[in-house]
Amino acid sequence: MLLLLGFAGGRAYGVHVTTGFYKSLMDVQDKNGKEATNPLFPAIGVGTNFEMTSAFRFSPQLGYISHTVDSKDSYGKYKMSTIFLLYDVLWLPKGFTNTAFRFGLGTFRKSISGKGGAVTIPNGNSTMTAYRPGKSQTSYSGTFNLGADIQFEFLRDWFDKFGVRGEMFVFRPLSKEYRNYSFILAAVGYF
Amino acid sequence: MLKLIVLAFLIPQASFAFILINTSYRLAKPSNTSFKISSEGCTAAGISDAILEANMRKAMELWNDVPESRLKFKFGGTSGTSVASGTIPAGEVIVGCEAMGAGDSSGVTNLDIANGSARIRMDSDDFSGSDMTGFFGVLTHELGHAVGLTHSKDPASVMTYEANGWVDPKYLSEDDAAGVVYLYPNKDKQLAGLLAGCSSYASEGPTSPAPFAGNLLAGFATALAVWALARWVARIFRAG
Repeated sequence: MLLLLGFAGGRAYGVHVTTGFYKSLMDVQDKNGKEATNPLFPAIGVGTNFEMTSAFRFSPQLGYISHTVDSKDSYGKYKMSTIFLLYDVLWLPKGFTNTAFRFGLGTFRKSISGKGGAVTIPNGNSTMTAYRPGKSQTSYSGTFNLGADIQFEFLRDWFDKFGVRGEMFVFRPLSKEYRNYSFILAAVGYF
Repeated sequence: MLKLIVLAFLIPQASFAFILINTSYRLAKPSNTSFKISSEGCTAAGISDAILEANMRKAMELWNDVPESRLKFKFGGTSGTSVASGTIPAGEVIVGCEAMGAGDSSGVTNLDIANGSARIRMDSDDFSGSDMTGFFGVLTHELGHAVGLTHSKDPASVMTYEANGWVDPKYLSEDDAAGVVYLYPNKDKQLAGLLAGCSSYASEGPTSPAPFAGNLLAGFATALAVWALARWVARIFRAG
């Protein structure tokens, strides 16, 4: 990380902290076979900006998404969480005093784990033994990111500046067939 | 706002739990599994290979569509293996029809655990060329067994065994998608995981996780390259 920070050079512009919600836009169905909406999951993040030019900043961000799932059936439950790292470039266009646009790449690391064990389930006219997920599995996915920060001047006694951030993540960006999207909508505090 | 977010972290959202058919079973070539018509297909039931293929392609699409999983079925044409065979070549899932008696299961999947492959038998007593009602739903469900998932209590799941309001699924459920990520997580070694987003994978085999630090460094280097490109484009525009 120190190497990365050294690489970034330039002047650091404080720290920005985000708290908000993450939502996947992957198509899923409900119990009636209709298109359903994925839940909103709480997300937090922390990042900083490094000056690259007067109009561009390198704006890395580390975040955590809590997939707060709790099974309501007797088959058991699993835990799911995501850590993401975004390597965004922040663009401050002339004429936009309170808005900055961001784009870049990201890595999402999703973990799913379960407590293991066996359950008896129906199968045809009889039953069978099935198994709960019993270990931790980790998935790494790359994303293209596109978003914007809009800053507000109020709450200056809390933060230097306060604003909102919306950012969209494109999973499988190079696959036209299986491209998927998700986004974060968050409040941002700039310290 | 802040209280709402804190509450969201504390209150879990109800979900269902996917479960596995076998703890050690996985498809041998998850990112390049060949989904084939068995040597006999379903022609004896009056279902042409073209109709069977169309249903297979739709079922594959659903299971291929989970962004954080490397599972990838490809249609592989006709296999020389019969659906009655107990041994299926590694990395293949074959489907064919067999008379199993009306009123019983409309489809059965048998796993070849040693080869990481499976065969799906569709019941020719339940389906025919003139009555394909529910065929796609059963095929998608059986393909879920070939993936390694078993029955779910979630009525939205294509693996459900509960009463539900659909015959043919439109999408996977959230629970199905979580199961696929658990069984076949992305283990991208490529640049920030982006290249694996392509539909083609160069290699298969052991799936050791990419060093996260390596991914970060690669991503950082790419971000710098993107930034340099953006500057270059901006200069061209200014010069113009």
